[in-house]
Amino acid sequence: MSQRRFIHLSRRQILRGLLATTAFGVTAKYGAGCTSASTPSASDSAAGSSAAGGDKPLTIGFIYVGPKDDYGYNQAHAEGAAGMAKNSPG
Amino acid sequence: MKLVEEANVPETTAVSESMRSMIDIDGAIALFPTSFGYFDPHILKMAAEYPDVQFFHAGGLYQEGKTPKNVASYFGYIDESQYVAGIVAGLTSKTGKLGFVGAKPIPQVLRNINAFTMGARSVKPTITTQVIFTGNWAEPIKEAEATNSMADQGIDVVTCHVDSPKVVMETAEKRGIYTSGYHADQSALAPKGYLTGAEWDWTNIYSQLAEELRTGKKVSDGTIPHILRGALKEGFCKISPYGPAVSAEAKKAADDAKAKLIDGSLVIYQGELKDNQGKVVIPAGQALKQTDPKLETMDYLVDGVLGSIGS
Amino acid sequence: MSSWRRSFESICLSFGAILLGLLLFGLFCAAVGQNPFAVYGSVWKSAFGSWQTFQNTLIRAAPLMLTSLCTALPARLGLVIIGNEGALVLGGLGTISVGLVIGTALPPVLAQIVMALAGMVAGGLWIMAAGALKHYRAVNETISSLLLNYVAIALLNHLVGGPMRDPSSLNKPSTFPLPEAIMLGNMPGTRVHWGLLYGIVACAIAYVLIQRTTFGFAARTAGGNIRAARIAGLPVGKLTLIVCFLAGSCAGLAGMIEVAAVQGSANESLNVGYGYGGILVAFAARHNPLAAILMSLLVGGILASGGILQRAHNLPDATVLVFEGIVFLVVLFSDSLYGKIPFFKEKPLWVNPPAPPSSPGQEPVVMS
Repeated sequence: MSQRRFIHLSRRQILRGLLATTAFGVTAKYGAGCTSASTPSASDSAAGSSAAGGDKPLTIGFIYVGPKDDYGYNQAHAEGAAGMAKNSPG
Repeated sequence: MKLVEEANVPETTAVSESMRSMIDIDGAIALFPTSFGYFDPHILKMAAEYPDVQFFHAGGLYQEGKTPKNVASYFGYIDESQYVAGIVAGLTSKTGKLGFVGAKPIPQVLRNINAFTMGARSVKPTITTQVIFTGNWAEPIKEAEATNSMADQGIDVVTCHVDSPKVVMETAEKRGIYTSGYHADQSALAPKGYLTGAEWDWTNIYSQLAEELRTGKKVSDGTIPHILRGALKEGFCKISPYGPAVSAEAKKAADDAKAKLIDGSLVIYQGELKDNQGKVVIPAGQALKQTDPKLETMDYLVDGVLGSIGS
Repeated sequence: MSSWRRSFESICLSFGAILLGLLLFGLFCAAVGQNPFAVYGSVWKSAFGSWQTFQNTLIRAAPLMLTSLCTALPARLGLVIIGNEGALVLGGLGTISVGLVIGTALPPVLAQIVMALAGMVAGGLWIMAAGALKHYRAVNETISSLLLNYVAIALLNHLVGGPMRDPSSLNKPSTFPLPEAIMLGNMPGTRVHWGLLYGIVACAIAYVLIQRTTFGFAARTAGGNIRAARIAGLPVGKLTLIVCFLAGSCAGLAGMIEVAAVQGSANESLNVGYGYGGILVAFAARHNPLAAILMSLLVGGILASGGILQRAHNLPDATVLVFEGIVFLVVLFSDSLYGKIPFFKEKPLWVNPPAPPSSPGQEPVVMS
């Protein structure tokens, strides 16, 4: 009996999965389109900011080795980064 | 200013890829990969590949002519904060026994242990600090065991230098002993026993750097220095607000020492200083300022510390 | 008796499982307030979307292919080995010891081959020890290989912090670095190191070895029924030792790559969980070395997308673990569906086998 229940469930899931695939494919296409469109703009902003840094907001990246809420080393840095973002809104 | 962040990035190809995506996809012009282990080889490689991006690294060694020009190293001499915290611990402790849970016997950790101990002994010369190394940056079980065994030995103030002091603070609070924090403010974890703590003040440093970046300054052309170091005076570090258990006398002693460290009239490492084997490590009449490169290679525990490095 | 239905079954179930995993992950994203389709788009973009980002996936997949074999090979012999992390660490240590001794005395290619052999032998002997304990002393191989991980990590910490420490590595104890000349570079035109090729080749060899040789047949037989294998005269002990050695040598090779292509020296960064990731990959691939390649790519892709989930969607850093966990759970669950879906069943040759003639003596007895 339980086997049959699994089968039905999985069929429904397959249907849903197919729906999801379609959606996934569409978004992926959209995403891929985005990549090619956004790459030049990203390099634009880098170039623009390195020139003088005025119009576009500067992007600064922070990388931590552990979680941001470890009450320790990483939290200290993350709090610093958040404080920095607050002090210089762009 | 737009901030992009990634947490839990291991010190391997993962961090190179994170840096690359931040530059290529998000258009980051400056990166702060904060873990010490990111430096060699990951930051060095990426900095060579992206000469227009500024890399700021906490604690790495910038070597003129060897390290890529667009790398800056920043770090604070947080042992000054530990010295002040040691004074508070020394004046609060009833048993005269302090405890320090350290990750590894590397110079940064040893400086903190020694400064904490010297701070405490500056107000009560008979005080001792028991040190236990757990061997790694994140060893919650060993940290809890170490804290418990310290409480069993009659130690009544513990502090630590591990990635996350959470376990040490919570265990100590449960055992009803005092704690002194590290890295960040942990008073929420130990509301009764938290005395003070040695904290970083990265908000201050990062905001300054962001401002310089905004005005077009760069590491690569030397308008931002390659080596940024400082302590209490420069605002790299601070001490946590005093907890409820700290007496007025201790607060005053700590504030006085802090003022002296800031105006430069107090130097922590001065002779004659002996290690805990009785060997003289700093001869009489010599004083090592925080910036002294000799301190960056510290390999001893000072007199008053119970424990050994080669464990 | 495999047919297209069987192959179709495994393809459908694997892909179905992954899709279901994606669906569940989408629900999770929706629950934390993110548009699942935007998240799918980002994941796709950052993991497989373009050659630039796909290289990120490949870099992350490379070590997993090798470490997964450390679990997958012994599994065919009926052994559950989870000492991947330890074998990787030992492989790294073996590599650096030999690499530092060789230095620039040998031409780079030769030096790399010797280092690879050293890493493989070190990792191989490590897992062979677990196999030997199992065969000669009946020590549970899962437990012993797990515990050997801790021994390996402690050994690493000891050697790197003491005897093998480069005194100039102050705040991150490391061994002396390998000379730049004998480091493994990247594959031409990419930023992916040669470890990827090693991984794919190792998986392919493992597949041929297990599925297409008498050695593999013997190993599978022993894995199926050890008593029958003994009766048939198969050298079970020898098989155990050899398979364990091969398994460990794959993880050791992963350690060699981590040292010689990525870190340049041995330090605590060797031990970042590639071994444990490999265990998951092996189970999700049903211990099939070829499937392990695909699974590694999938996991590599998931890991590669971890960054963008944090940066573009403000999801917490643990999200990628949730994603990975969901996919693995569903893949493992799909295992239980094999042979249970009528569509995939082999069509019986006789559609209606004649009912066995009922004999009077076997009629059910009705108690009265």
